[in-house]
Amino acid sequence: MAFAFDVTGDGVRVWRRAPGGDATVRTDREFRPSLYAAGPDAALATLDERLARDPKVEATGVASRFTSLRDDAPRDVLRVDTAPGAVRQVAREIRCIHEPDRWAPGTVRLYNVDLDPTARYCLATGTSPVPDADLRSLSLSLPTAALADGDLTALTCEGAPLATDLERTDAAERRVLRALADRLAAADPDVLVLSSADLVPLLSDRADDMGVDCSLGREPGYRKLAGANTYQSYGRVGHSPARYAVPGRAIVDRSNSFLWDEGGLPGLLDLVERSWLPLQVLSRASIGTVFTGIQIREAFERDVLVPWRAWEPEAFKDARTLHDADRGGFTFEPAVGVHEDVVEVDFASLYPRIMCEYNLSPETVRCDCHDTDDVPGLGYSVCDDPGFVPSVLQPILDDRADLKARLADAGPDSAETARLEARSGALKWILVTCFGYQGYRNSKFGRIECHEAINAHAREILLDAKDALETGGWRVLHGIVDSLWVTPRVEDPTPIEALCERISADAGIPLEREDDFAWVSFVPRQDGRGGSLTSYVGKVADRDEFKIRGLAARRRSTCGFVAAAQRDLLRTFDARRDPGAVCDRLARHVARLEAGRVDPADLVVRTRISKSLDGYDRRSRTVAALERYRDHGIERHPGQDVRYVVVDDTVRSRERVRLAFEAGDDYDATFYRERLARAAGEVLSPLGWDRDRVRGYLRDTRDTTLGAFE
Amino acid sequence: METPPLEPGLTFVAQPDGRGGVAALARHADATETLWVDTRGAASTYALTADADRSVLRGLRVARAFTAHQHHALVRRAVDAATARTDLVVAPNLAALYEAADGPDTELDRLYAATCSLLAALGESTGVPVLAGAPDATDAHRETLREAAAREVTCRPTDFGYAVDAPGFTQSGYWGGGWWQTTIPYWVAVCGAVGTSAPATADPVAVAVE
Amino acid sequence: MGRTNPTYRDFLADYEGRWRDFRRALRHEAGEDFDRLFARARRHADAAGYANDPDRELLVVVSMLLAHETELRRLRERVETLEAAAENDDGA
Ligand SMILES: [Zn+2]
Repeated sequence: MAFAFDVTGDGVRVWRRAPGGDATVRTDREFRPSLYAAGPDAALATLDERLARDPKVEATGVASRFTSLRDDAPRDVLRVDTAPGAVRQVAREIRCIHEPDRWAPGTVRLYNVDLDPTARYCLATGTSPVPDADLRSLSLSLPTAALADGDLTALTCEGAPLATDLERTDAAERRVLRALADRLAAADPDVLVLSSADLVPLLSDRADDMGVDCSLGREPGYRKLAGANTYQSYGRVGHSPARYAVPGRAIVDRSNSFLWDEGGLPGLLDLVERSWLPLQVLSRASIGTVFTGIQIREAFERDVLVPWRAWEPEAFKDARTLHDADRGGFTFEPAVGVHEDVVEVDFASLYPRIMCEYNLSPETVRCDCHDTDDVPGLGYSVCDDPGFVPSVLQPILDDRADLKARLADAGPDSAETARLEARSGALKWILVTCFGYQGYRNSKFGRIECHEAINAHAREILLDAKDALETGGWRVLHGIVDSLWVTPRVEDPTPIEALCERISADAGIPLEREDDFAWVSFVPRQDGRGGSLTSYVGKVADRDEFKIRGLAARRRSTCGFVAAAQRDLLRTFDARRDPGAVCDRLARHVARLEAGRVDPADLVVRTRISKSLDGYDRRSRTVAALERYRDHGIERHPGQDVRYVVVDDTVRSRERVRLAFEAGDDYDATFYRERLARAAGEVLSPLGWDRDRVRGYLRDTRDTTLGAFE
Repeated sequence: METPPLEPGLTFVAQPDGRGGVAALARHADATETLWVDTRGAASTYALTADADRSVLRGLRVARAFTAHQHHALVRRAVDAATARTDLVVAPNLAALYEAADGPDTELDRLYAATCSLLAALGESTGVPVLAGAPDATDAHRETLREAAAREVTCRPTDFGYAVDAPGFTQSGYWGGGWWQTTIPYWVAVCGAVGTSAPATADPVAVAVE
Repeated sequence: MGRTNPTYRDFLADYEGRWRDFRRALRHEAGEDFDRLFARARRHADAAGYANDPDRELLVVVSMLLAHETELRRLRERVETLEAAAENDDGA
């Protein structure tokens, strides 16, 4: 079956391979991508006439399609078949040339314009992009610094070096390329998993220069699909590196694949099957893009067109309704401090289950045909007709539940377990995303009122659960959106299982006992103003495990030394339940740090940058790091990480830091001591010990315990 | 706050020192039914009830746009949504969404111009006052709105509330925190100009109303 | 596509800030009492956010009153315990 696609000027090249066989390629020269136009008959007739004179348009016709999920019946629209690769250009010309000539903006609405070209081909021709089970992959890696230098000697294949030379010479690099060519010939992979897509031009160009016959694809050459660029998504800056294609092989760029990290190849393939986004596209897609892809596939099946621009606004509503609707999920104020004997109960996949249980979808919420009061507190109606989004989500929920059940049966550490976990992990992300997507402004199938309705149900479900738990003899210590932490309020409370069962039945959504904790600590905010809503740590009962959220040990920027020290302090607290003992332990870490005995590799700080070097005007550590990268000829882009050790935090120059890959073993102990103190504060502050008290304690005990940490 | 009487048609509300002017004018317009085409959270309930006067929310119908195309569609829809009782249409932050890149500039500029003309036509054909503002907009976008509008008023925040400057209108007091902060013109109107015999009053800095 | 209204928790932080001058002029003990007042208002930020009354200053005041009521109950219970203990001592 097909596994790689290449859309070129003269057709779509489809690569297939039968199990055990050799790959074959066929070029489809007949395929013409279609966009659709809807509008008044007269406007469509005129548009049809004008497009007939456009050489990029090969044919037009009338088609019957739904232009919105809310349409009751399909209507006649103009189908415009364009030359390969010309869809967007034709759409832009309709919008900016044909329409302004004659009609008000928005008279003609355009559909199926911004689809991925390969996914469009698969959907329109019914070509499944799901590869066969024996898909063969090969991984190649080159460290960042070597990639920037163009040093091939460090290249590894499936984790093993391709050459044993330590010295970088032409001969050594030539040997690497030859070894690579041999490996490619022997393995004949369908998928190349690369540490960075920049390996494609580097390896190909160097092979050409050196006259080595080594092509990454099944035919010579490669294509650049898109240059590197910076984008903004969900308010966060991201960087997407340049994209390349080689003939006959799908490329997975690990530096640009969130889904690879979460689900590996099994997770990616599961989503290929659901979205029909070919592997090479899916591997670099965001979760939102994948979820959109799954919906677009469903839309194609239903003859629903995919809008180009988000035109559909919400309806006018009473300001008081808006005020009521404009609330997020419910979060309890945490009871700051340490609590013994705590149970965490969770509504699993709360938001997607709410959408399915209550049939919430862009077209069902505030439908035109019902005037009922179906959403608590908001008075929105919800249609009885099966909703579009629930029909997309239900199979994902079911399959994930099935995967979890099979995981419970599968033996630990088996290959099967890893595969199931990968698939389950990838699906989890889709389920996490589906709710936010309803409120995302450029959603193809989203609607703010649907978002509000989901929130309204979530709030009521959580508060009903609180009521039931309290009545059953439990006290709610904290609760966020879909999770509650409770502790017995009376001698002999109703068993938590019985309550969960009752609450699940009432809500129509399963409430599960997630974990029992020997103790849970809810951490106050740094500024002392109440509890941090998302920072807590719990010691799982009967298991040597901590569940940590929002603390230094969990934050991605925290260096290994501080993270390990914080975990050590938590273990100390767990064993001794005594703030003083934690302070003593802290003193040992400080002493080790100040004696210069910490491995600098454990002091590497990781920061995601939001601007490129020239965009910063403050002399921060990040800027110092970026300058050093630039000295090495490495350009870091917004959305990428910088990794460095702080060497001297008192200066503002590039001497302030040292990059992770640069040689050296000195560090700024004062800087890291401050970080350590903050991490210790997260452990000690719930016990009512602030910094002054810790300092005072250490001063008083230092003499007697000095021997312990020297 | 004392506001000039709202006149039928499109009024461009210039806000040289920030946002909020359109909301302030709408708040005090005492309309029976207002249609509010919202962007960027201007319809925050708390901006509208700044004087803790919840009655302002009565008769207020809001719809929010999150893209330029939605915004244009909403303005178009306002024409249908308007009822016989509708006596005010409000569109703050008019240009905001057209300046976020969801499409090519030419397409969005044309869409924006069409939105401005639609608002003008709406005001003209129904005789309903339409208030539109474009704080933080580019000069070109503000100029497009100004050209489409039948008149312009200026609204600036002061320490004592908003000050309004409209043709043929002089403000005599600033509404702020439930108090009238008086200005010279007010006392001139009440007591006559300085030099004429002023009645003996208590220190006339602030007079509570309500 | 954030929400239209800022959250109640944000409002509360902002509102406390508006009392900065008042707080600054207080003597030490009163200053600490003042901080406690807002700390206790924050304890009910969940309920206030859910109640969602447009008059958020009123929500702050009721939250403070509620905390007051809680403290009164604690003290009442404490007094009763102490009285009971004292009676037992008398009886003994
Ligand atoms: Zn219905």
